Amino acid sequence: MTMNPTPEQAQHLLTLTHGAADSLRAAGQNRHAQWLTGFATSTFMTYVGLSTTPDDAGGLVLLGAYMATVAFLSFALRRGAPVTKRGLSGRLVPAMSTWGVLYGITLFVGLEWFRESSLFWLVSAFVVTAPLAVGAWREGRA
Amino acid sequence: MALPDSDAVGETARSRLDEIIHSPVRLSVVAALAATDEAEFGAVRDAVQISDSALSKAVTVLEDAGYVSARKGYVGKRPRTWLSATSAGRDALQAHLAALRAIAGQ
Repeated sequence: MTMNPTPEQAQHLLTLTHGAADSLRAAGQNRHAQWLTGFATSTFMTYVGLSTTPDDAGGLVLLGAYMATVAFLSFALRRGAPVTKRGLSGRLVPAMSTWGVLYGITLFVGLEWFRESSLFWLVSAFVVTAPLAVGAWREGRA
Repeated sequence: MALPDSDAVGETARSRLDEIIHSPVRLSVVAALAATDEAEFGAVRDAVQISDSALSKAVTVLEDAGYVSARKGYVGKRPRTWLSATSAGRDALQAHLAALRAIAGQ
């Protein structure tokens, strides 16, 4: 390519750059958004399950299944992801850290004082899932 | 004050073109990587629609210029290479695109 491109050649090169960037972003299949969506869904279902399972054994089984599900999703979707969109950590860190805080607080408060309160666990389902859902939405749009 | 004519604008912009990035293949590679934090070699190859050897050659030139960095790893037992644009590469790309826009009359 000549170092003296015509305006048409320059425009062609500009079009080329946009096409390449869009193609590579699409090649990532939005794996991180899928992971966050799966994480949010399993979080929600676990808390809904806790609202229907007042005994500790059932709660332990649910939490164990939750951890196994998240581990599987991480292995299937995040490991070897072909593309990491620009600024992923800026979307992932706030989502995960907010989830972590809410998850810790709701589990502690719920298991300590509201173990048999279905209302507590159902409300917590929405509260704890929200940052993951927002993160998934932001990652999908990136 | 008289404004510069379009030829003068084009001449100034042409002088700002980056010789390393100006090749269509290398320009596409850097532009694609600039849209990501990191991308796997095969994904970049498919996005830019070139062969493995052509991409390897382009990456070698870009790495030598400090515009792209490569990280080798494994997915299971399969070796993989991930590419990312450096901050120097992103800056060079922005300057080059600005020059192209000036030439294109945007």
